[in-house]
Amino acid sequence: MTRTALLCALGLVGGLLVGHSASAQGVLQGTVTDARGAPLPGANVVLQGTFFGAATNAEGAFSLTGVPAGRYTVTASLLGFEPTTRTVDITDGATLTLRFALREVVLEGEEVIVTASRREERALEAPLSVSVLSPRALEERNIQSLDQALRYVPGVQLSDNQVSIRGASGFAYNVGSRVLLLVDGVPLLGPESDGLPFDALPLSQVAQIEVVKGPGSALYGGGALGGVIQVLTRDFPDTPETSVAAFGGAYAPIRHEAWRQTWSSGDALRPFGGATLTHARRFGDRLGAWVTATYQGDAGYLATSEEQRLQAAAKVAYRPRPSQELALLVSAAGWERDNFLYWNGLRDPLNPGRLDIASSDFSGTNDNRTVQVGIFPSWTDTPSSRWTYTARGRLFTASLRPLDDRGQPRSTDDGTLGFRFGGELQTTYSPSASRTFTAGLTGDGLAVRSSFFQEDGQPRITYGQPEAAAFVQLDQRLRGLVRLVLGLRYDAYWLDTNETEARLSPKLNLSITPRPSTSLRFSYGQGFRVPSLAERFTDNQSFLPIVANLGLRPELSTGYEVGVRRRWALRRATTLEAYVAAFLTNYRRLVEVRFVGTERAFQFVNLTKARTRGTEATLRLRSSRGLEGQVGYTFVDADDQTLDQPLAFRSRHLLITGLTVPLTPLWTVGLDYRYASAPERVESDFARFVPDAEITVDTHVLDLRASVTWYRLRLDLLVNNALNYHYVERPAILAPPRHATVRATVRW
Amino acid sequence: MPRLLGSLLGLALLITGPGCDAGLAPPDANAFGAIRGVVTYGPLEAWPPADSLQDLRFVAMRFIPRDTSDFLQLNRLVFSPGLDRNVAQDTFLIADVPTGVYVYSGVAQQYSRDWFAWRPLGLYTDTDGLFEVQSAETTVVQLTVNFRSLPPFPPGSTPRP
Repeated sequence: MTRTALLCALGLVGGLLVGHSASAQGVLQGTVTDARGAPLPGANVVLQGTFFGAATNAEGAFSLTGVPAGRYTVTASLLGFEPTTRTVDITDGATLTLRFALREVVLEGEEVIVTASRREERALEAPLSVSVLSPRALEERNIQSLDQALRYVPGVQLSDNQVSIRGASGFAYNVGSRVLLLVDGVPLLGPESDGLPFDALPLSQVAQIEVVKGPGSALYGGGALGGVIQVLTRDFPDTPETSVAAFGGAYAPIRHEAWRQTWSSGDALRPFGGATLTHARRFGDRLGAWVTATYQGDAGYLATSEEQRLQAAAKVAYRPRPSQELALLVSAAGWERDNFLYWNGLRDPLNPGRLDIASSDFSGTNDNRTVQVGIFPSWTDTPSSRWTYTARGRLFTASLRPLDDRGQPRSTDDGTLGFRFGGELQTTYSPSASRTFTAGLTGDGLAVRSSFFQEDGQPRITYGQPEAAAFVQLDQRLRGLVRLVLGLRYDAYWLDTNETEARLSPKLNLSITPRPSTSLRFSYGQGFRVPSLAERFTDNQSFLPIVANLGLRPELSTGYEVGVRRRWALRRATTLEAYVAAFLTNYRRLVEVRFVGTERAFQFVNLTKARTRGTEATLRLRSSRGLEGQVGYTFVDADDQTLDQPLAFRSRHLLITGLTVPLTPLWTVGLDYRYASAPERVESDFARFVPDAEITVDTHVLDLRASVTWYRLRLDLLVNNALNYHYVERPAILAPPRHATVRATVRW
Repeated sequence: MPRLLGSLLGLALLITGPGCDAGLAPPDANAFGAIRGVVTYGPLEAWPPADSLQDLRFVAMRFIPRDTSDFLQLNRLVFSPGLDRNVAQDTFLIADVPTGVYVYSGVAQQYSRDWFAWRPLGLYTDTDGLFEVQSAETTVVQLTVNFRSLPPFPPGSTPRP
């Protein structure tokens, strides 16, 4: 069965690749203006049912070359304007000129997403729950890393750098993410721990961030147990753009004097700041590039939590023909950080814990230097109006070196050096406007050397877990109202214990759009996650006794969701969008850390059969004048069915609200408020050796912001955690207290 | 616009009101006391060799351990700084001890570098081995270690020679 599926996918990919042939071609060009004739830059002009499309430039002009001769339906659209459609005939060697005059309408919020189906589609019609973060949302909140951004997504909760979507994850010591991270379609997980490398992402050049909720292994394979996060980077502007942003701020002293007295810097303001430089441009019609560099320094609000970070990224794309693109994204980040691992109890939470017992000296802090480099080439070709294919490569390397007492990095022999590499080929074929096939092949491998993976007292070198997969998806529209998506993916992992783990992950999505403003959806999907090398091989006594577990099995999930999305047009070019969903996900063999008496040590073990179920409701208000509001509430009932009690570290209630109000054409103010109920259960093994690690409270975080824009200058003032409310996002670490930031951005 | 802002401010105050309680706070200082102890060792010539004295401490537990792996419940026990070796008597003071009843206490020896290589040398036996630490008070305990007659471990097992 599994071999048949693999051969079918291979045949489909191969068949499509050899189908590329030359044909008669013409050119379609023109302009898009508003009703008064003013040019509209950034409008989309697409040939329906094909992959041909373009965005208008600053003069409202567009050009589509190499269009195969034939009859097409052309649509011009722009947010805030009514889409306009024409039927045209393209003839061989001819240039056809069109002029679109769009009528301004109530803002419809036509978000376009790619993650749910591996291709572009309207968010309203997406067959899965997807939340989108825009660049504007990131800038308004001075967001510097992906984990900060995800705190504003309904149903998402963070424990340190561990992401939980709708209760999929608790706190797992930052090892083994149950959410897959993609950058421009490329999986990006740390090679040794499968952690999410938040610091390696160029957030200043993000087009949008998409969060798919629910199992997604049928499209993306291992890791997509609880959801998928995709960061999409920007395209290149028609005119060169440069921006410089600088920000600075400080953490307020902790509210309680008893805590401040335990640290010599407890009464002082603790500064942080940074700067970002970006430049993006095109070089003629064929070449484009952007580059960005960021420096950040942070004194930290806890003893031994200082950080210095440097990050740079560049993307270059060459288009030899309008239908082809060769792109290369390179990202590099390095930082030195005092990692505050756990506190010294609730009487002394500003200092790391210390345990000098049993001839050992365990400390709740460690210092290290980390360097991460990612190289992601891709080639996209659209040989005909019916099909396209993309080949992507990936190399991600991470090194972690502990710092000695003088602050100098020690050898990688004392740390970790890891590589993750692979590639994939994906093709999309649309034999008709109502039917699309997507298929692909992927392969990945790892090589890691870590002092945490011991074998006979020596660091173990693991050329671990090569993976190959094939996937196929059918997207079929029935009578225009109903959309059916069927998908299947086969993954095989080769473990270095000479075992093979294979999974077949199906999915079925159904969406019904009875009106343009209303959609109903049902989705079913499976997910799985092969344990990371860190979970299988960590064998170390440096912080606490941990032993390897070579018999660890993959985690599995099966998810169901039904949802309704509705959009209303209100007065003054304002839209209100509501989404209500009910979800159920069953998990098997969840991996957790336990103290295992027979091993006399901690160990990652397959323990839990679990179920999360609940509801999510979001309400979004947007107007073309800049007014934006959001309320998102998620109820999660997370049961550990093995222990017959709540899953550890899951909040039952999550609430996110946000409001942005333009006071004048220059001034805008806003606020965000987050609430998470205290977890019903905390896992007690961590509290065995960390004092008060079992203590949690509800989370109430209020962020305030104001901005003024004057010509090319934008000033932002932010006050985060304005209530100076003290809480924990993960056990035994106090979350940031109130901190204020001033940010200045100049663009030209 | 002022009306809208007023409404929004009111809404913001309504939803953020619960956040004004400040969240986590230092524990009540009255929840802690102290333990002062005196340990008498004998006979002097029977002190264990240095290589089997990796660590030596007074440990007070809120539970009766089943085996040494139970020691890894540091949130349910308190221990003193390292005690002196090869002496006839030593004293210790443990501050910031959570109030409550401690049911199994004594001087413990780590006899090798293994995390779990611990054994008791002498137990607190007055008042059936129980004592209570009360708020802002110092509880005084006295123990005797007889190297010729070590207590059984785990509790209830055959006494060791």
